[in-house]
Amino acid sequence: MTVATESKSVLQLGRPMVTVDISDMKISSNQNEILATYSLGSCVGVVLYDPVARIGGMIHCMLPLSKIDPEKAALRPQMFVDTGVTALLQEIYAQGAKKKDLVAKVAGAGSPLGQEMIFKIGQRNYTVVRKLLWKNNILIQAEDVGGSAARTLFLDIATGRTIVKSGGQEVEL
Amino acid sequence: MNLRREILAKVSAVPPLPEVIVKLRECCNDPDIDYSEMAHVIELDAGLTASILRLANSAYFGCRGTVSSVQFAMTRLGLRRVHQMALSVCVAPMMQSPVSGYALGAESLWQHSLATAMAAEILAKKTKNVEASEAFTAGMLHDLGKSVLGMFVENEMVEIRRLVRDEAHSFDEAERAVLGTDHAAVAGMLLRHWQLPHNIVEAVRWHHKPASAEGENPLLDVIHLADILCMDIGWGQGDDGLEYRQDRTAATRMKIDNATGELIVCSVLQGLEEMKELFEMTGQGVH
Repeated sequence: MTVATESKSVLQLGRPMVTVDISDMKISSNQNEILATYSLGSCVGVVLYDPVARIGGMIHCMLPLSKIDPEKAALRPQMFVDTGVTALLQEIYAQGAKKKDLVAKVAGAGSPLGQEMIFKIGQRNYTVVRKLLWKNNILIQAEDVGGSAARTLFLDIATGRTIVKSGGQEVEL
Repeated sequence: MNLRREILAKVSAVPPLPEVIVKLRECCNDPDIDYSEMAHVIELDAGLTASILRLANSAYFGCRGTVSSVQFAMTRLGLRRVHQMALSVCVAPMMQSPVSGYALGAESLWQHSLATAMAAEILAKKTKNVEASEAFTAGMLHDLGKSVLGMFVENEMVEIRRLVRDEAHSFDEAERAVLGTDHAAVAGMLLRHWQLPHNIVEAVRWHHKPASAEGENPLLDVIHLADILCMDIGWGQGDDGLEYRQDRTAATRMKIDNATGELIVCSVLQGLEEMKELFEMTGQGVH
C-alpha cells in the first residue's frame, strides 16, 4: 500500500464517475470510467479487475450473510456479501473476465471505537469476503480494512488502479 | 469572544420553533384536549397541513390514503405522531443543507438523521419503556448540533484530526478539547431552547456518552444503539467516520444482539428511500 501521489490526477481528470451505492454493484469495460463507492463504514467494498480483458467491477455490501433475510436477498442480492460477491463474479465472467487473470481488492469493514463491539458487522463482512474469494481461488491482492475511518473507494477501469480516500488522504491499494 | 461563547451565541440565535408545534407538544400531555380546536390551529398553515396529510397517508406511518383531515390524523395516529411529523417537517430544511467541517454533503446529515430515526423507532418497539414516536424524534434530531458546529469544526479541523489520529481521541472528545463543547452538547442546548421534553433532550445530549447521563433513560440507549448502527452502515457519513466510542452496556440493557442489529438495518435500507421521497415533497412546510 503506497500513498498515491499520482492518483490525485486520476480522480481530478474530470472523467465520468460511476457511483456504486450501498447494496449495489457496477461492472464496466469503458476505459474512460471510474467506479466509486462512498461512505464505507462496516460495509465492505470489493473490487474485481481483469487487467487482460480490462474489465472491472465493484460492489458495496452491507451485511455478511443472506440467510438473515432471504426475501430481501432475492430482491437485492448485492446487499449481502455471500449473494452479492457471487453475483459480481458471475456477472464479470459473463462480460468476459477470466478467473485466472482476476485480482481482488477489499476496503471497509470498519467499526466504531472501543474494544467491546456492540455489532460485529464489519468483522463479519470481512470474514465472509475472505472465505468466499478463497473458495473461488481468487487472490486478495491488497486491502484496507478495519479501524474507524470513513472510506471512499475508486477503481480506474483503464488501469485497474484502486484508490482509497480516507481522512483527507488518498492511498493506492 | 472565546469559542464556546461564540458557539452558545449561535445556538441562541437559532429561531424558536413555530408556535403551532410548541402548542401541539403541550397538547400531547393534556387529556382534555379538543382535537378539532388543535386541528384548526394547524390548518391555518396550509403548507404544514399538506405535509402532515402526506406523511399520515404514507405506508411508513401506516394509513395508506385514508387520512383526509388533520383531525382524523390526530384520532387515527395520535397526537404524539402528529407532533413528530410536524416537527420533522419543520427541522428538515435545516438538516438538508450541506454541513462544512464534517464534510457532509447536501443530503448527508438528513440521510443519517432519517436512518437513525427509523432504526430508533424499530428499537423502541422492542422495549416497553420507550414511545416509538419519541424515539423517531430523538433519532432525527440527535446530530442537529453538527449543523450549528460545522463552521467551528472546519476552522479547527487540523487540530481535531491530529487529536483523533495521534492522541486516540474520539471525534467528540476532540471537539470538546478544541472547541470546549461537542455536537451532542450543542444539540442538547438547541433542543432545550426549543423546549422539547427532558428525556429527548437528555437522549440527544448524551448519545455518544450514555454512561455520563444522570439516571436511567431507555430512550438514550435506543438513540446510542441506533446511531452506532447507522454509523456502522455509513448512512450520511462525514469526515468524522466511525470515530466515536460505543457503550456495550446499552446493548446489554436493551438485550440487543448482532443479529437483531442486522435485521434492523435491512428494514431501514428498505424504507429509507421512501422516507426521503416523502420529505422531499414536503418542501413547502414551515421554515
